[in-house]
Amino acid sequence: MKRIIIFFVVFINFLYAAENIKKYIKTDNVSIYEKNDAKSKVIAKLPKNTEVSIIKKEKRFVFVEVDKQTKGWVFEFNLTDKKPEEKGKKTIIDTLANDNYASREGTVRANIRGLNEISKEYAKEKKISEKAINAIIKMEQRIISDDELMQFMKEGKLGEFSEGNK
Amino acid sequence: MKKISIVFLLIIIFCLTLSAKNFFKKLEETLKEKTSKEETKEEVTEDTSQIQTIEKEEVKEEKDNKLSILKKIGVKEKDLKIISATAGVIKSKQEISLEEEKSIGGSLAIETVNRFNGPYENEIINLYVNLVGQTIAKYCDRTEITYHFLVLDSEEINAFAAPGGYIFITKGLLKIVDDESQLAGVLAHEIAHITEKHILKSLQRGKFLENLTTLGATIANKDISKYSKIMNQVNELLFEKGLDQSMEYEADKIAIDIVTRVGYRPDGLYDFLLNLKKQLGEKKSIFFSTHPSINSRIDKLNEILLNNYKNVKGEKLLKRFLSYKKLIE
Repeated sequence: MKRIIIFFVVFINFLYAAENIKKYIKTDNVSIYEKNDAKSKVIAKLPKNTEVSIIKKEKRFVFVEVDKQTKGWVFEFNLTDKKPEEKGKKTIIDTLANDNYASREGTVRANIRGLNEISKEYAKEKKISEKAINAIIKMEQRIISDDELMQFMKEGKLGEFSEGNK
Repeated sequence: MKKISIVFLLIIIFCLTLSAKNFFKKLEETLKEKTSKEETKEEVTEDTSQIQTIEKEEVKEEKDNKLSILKKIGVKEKDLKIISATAGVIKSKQEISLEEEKSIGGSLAIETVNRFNGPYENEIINLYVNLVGQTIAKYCDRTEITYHFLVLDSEEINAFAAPGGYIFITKGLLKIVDDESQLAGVLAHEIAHITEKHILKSLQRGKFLENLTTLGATIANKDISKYSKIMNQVNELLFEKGLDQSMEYEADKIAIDIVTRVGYRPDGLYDFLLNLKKQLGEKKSIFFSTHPSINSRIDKLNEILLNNYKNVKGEKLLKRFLSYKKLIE
């Protein structure tokens, strides 16, 4: 009988532990591996902010449950404790602040990719050359694909391909 | 014994019920989140300027409602203005929005390229620096923004970070780097300035405060003269005064942490600073006027490395770095 009781207590602790540790995927296209090794099969690619339950940790990998069907290993630094921010929550201070706050709030949803118009106008006002403006536009347009980055990391044994000893 | 077993079984049943309740509660929350996410997606596709106008009206209406409540309970008109202004000041002490950050950063980035002889027109080197930079950025603690990296065509040894994710290093700096772990250390230091919002935090202090309360409106209304005033202060901060020493030390500390996560050896930045000291000595350069004394940074880094990273190894990637370095003219 004692054994049964101990088993149940351990089982319940396990249930609670598994249910309470939640983390979130930090960036888009994060690989979930079959084993705690980036050379093993990729069983899923997860988008940013996906909630996962932590089951255990081995080396630099964490075994996670995404949903009932998907469980696998993810590189520990692809996870964050930070819950995605809730948008649109306003405090009384937000509301009572000067009217310009409305602009601040409103522009958050605007497209934030690319140089802002006022940055370009400021450069023209200061008579900064077109060359400098175009350099920043080109800088922003450089896109490194996930495959290219993963290949670079793999060659250098970096990120999830690192052997790490901390 | 039987009694004890019954008590335990009851506890177990109670716990399982609680567990099931939590599960259904979480399921409900997930479904709600999914619905709200879909709604947000639809809203984003609408014209942003239309959204801004509607939001402005909504916020104004909400503000009027709250002020009218205060009026009803006997708060005088004069006091209402003070309350409203105080709320504005408190607001300015809160987070600067991503849009405002991008505007300041974009302007600062253009100014940086202009001051440092434009971009270094070497596609391979720029791609390589971007690959190293993006690898580090992937594992930093602020991933909601996109990071961009550019090599400047200047022989001066320097590196900059502008808010919004713009990072620059000069060709001169690349020339004194010995291996990829050192380059990673320098880039991680600059990324840390952005993840910790060091420039923005400096702006939120003292004399910048007045301008920041109106920054959102200045950007939305494209008020160039007011915006130029703000930018003059930002330029002074980055290019002349430099950030607080404590921020530089903090960036060094975070840099070691990030490169270690990535798998580089932790002492890359330390070795780079030793190189820099050897190359330039303690003679004055812009780098030294905007950073704490090189010796004090070396000492602090050494202390961190000895205390926390003594047995940590990692990649140096000397061969890969040299294959690119030989292409720098």
